[in-house]
Amino acid sequence: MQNIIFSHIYIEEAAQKFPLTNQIATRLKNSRIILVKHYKDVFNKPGQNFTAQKNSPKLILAVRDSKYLTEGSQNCDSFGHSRFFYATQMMNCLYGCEYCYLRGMYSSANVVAFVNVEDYMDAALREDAMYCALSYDSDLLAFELLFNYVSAWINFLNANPSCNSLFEVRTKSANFFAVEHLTPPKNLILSWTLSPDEIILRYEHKTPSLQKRLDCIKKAIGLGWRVRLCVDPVLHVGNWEDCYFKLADKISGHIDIKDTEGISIGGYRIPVTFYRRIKRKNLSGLIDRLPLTELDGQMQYAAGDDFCLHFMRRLGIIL
Amino acid sequence: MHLEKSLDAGIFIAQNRVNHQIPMLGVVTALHCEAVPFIDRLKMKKIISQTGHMPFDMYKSSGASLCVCGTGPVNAAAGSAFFLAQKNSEWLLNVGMCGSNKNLSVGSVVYPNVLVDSAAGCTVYPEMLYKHEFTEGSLASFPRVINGGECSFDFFDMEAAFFYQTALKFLAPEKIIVLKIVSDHGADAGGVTKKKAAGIMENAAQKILPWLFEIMNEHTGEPLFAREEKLLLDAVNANLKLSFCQQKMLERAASACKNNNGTDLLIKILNENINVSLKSKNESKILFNGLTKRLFDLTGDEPCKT
Repeated sequence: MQNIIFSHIYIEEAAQKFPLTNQIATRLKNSRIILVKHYKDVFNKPGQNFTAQKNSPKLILAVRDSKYLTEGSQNCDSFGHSRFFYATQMMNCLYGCEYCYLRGMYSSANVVAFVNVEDYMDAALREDAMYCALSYDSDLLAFELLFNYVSAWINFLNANPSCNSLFEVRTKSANFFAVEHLTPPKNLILSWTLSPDEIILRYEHKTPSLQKRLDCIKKAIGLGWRVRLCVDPVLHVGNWEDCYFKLADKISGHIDIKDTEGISIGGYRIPVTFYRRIKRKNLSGLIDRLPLTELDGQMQYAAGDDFCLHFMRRLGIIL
Repeated sequence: MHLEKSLDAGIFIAQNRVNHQIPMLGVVTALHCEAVPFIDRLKMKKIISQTGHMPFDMYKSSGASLCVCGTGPVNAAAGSAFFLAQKNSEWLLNVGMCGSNKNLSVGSVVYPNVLVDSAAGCTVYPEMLYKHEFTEGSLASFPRVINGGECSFDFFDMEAAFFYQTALKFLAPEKIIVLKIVSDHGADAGGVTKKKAAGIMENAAQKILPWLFEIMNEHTGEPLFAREEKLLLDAVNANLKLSFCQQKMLERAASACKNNNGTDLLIKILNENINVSLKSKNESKILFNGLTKRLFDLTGDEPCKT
């Protein structure tokens, strides 16, 4: 397989004129550039092998011409906000989490980045107050050194204090250093997904360790950023309860939960269509072993349990 | 396993086929002179049809087969389809000569990253998954002979795009490789004699085959189950009369068990299930559920029921 991060960059004709395109091409000067008419000519090709592409992903730079903000799925926590939207600025991710729904959502493992960031920002300004997930079908902070998407949003929010929506950047990355010099906007939350070390090692391939994520969180809180912790999804594999209780101990040993925006805990769930596609193409050895059942068009754990309560108790949030 | 040590590709491929280490290679060329170095190196023999008629010249050895399809879009598509319909290739190579608009020396090997079907006006993008040292560029395929100045693409020929689109109907894109060798620059096409072409292709085959076998070897990997395990799994499938989905589920459970506990335990468990007598379909289902649960239990990843 190719050794460099993106051996090839496919650039959509319409994306050529954007400064970000040139910036990225300059940063990836060893990659070969191929011009394409439309990004779907490459991304939606028939018969692609997700696993092979994941080992040698290509970058596709494109322009999104509509639907900058999409209404969020009911499967996702909107944290009490009635209007929940997400922005798909990128499709696919650097990381290789075995449970990720993206494996069942896209037929390609190549990474698409939309370079018309300003259009997304204009759309966000036009919307009424909403909760908007910026890092939804990807991990924007993981790509920060290459694309600067998160910095662009931070600068935009600082320049538009009247924007009354709340934004979230969810990540597993340890790239906080790339944005730490910026002023934290009051309406942006950085959310870190946390998993036990055993889960990270075994199922969250290429992601930073728990310790690195916790270090970033601590630093971000210290610098006045709004931070949320996400223990989501909780994976029922092996001696999972012990692992997650150890995680709770580690979190409470490093971070005072009162300094955060809270903690979000969620079981694994995935739309049935994605689940079936992952199984059919044998893209994950993990989801076979999760005790999932079909309910309302999605696969999820069979019955509610009091794990969440135990976990919160362990964290010292409730008595 | 580098071929540099032994350039005898025929022996290399035959030995590894016996051990099931590398899959069957198919080669498609337009002209016989393009095929000769591959026929020789892969120790292939001409296939003679029992009825005495073959629409295309075909050659075969224990680990590779080759088809000489002829020039132009119809021959490229028909020849590839005929060849692939025999189901004797797991990887496919289209190799042949092309013209170049770039200042590349004659004999340079080209790995096109864009293929343009100029007849239909459509463009396809081959998967570029493998590390290589060849020259990349766009290649347009025309239904007639052209001069270099007539097209704006880096390279031009009469088959590649037609071949690739046909091959996609049969094989996964990551297993289809198109490699072209620069023979002329359009204006000097008339100087390419049979003898010169043979020399160009001979040199190219020396570079192409070792690279190709290396990536085939690297991307095929070890088989999931050893021969004994596979036979036992087949026996369990037959004994329990498992459906296709159940067979796949059992394979996954067996693979997980093998990874965590080694092969001995898997063989022991499978052996217990090959001579079970069944009276009903329901009994088979119960046994199957018990067997997969037991195999998953042994992985240490068995979910705790809440």
